[in-house]
Amino acid sequence: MRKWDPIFWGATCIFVSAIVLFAVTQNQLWLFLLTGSYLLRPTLASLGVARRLVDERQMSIQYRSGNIAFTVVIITCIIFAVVLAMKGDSGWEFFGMVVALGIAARAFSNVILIGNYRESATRIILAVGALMALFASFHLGEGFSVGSLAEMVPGLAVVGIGFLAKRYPRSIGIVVFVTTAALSFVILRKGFTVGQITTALLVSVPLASAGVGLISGDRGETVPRQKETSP
Amino acid sequence: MKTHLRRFRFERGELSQQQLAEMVSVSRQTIVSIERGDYSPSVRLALLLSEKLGTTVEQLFILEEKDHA
Repeated sequence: MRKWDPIFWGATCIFVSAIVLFAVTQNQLWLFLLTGSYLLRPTLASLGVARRLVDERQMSIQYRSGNIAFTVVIITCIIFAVVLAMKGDSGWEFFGMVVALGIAARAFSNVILIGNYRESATRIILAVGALMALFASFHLGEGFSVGSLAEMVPGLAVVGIGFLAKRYPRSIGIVVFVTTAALSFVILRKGFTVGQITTALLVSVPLASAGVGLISGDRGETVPRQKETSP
Repeated sequence: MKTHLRRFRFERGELSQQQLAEMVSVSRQTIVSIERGDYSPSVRLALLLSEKLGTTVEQLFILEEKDHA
């Protein structure tokens, strides 16, 4: 059923703009704008901007198909990253950033929408740590050495912090802030290049947010927080 | 979940799926899916449907044995 609502006209404008810009400039990159017209309605509905304009069953279908599409994109990026890394092409780092950005965006959305800040924070820390260790492990392909193995240690340490966060949320929240500052320093010490700054942001922003989540506690928490106990 | 939506729709002046869909601001496909048992509506939509059809949610939707699992 065609809906003649503002979103339809917005999507039509984007579609026509893409075609006109492509026709005028002969640059195929403008055709990427077409995805905007396709994704406009589900994106606005997901953001809560246009809930009234989207049927609840359609929204449910959009969520499910969106999750499948997300998984496909992430797996594809990982496959491309692994293939490029095996060829020794540093372009794999770009796909690594896309994966990290996707996971981080999903984790952030969970934090905001669920309001279960501590649980989400723990997951973010575990995910960031696992990804750091995973990307560091790619260097093992260049030859096994103590140095390359040592590059995995920060990632594994972050994973360890993630597990401890379940038991000592507030204390670990402070540790996460200190760790974030240390990791950002280590990453940026290698140079203020676009790659290094992006990497620092991809690591520090999710971790800092997780730290805030651990310290602030869950939304709607009505029972008094129990005092942290020692093991 | 079993539904008597179709029966109530006909009892309420032979309402078409499209008419009922417009009354509760959803698509016709959503009404079709509910009637076929493919989609369980939200509490809000269930209340709206029962209100428009002049009945209660309990009469409109009935839990089946498998739903208790």
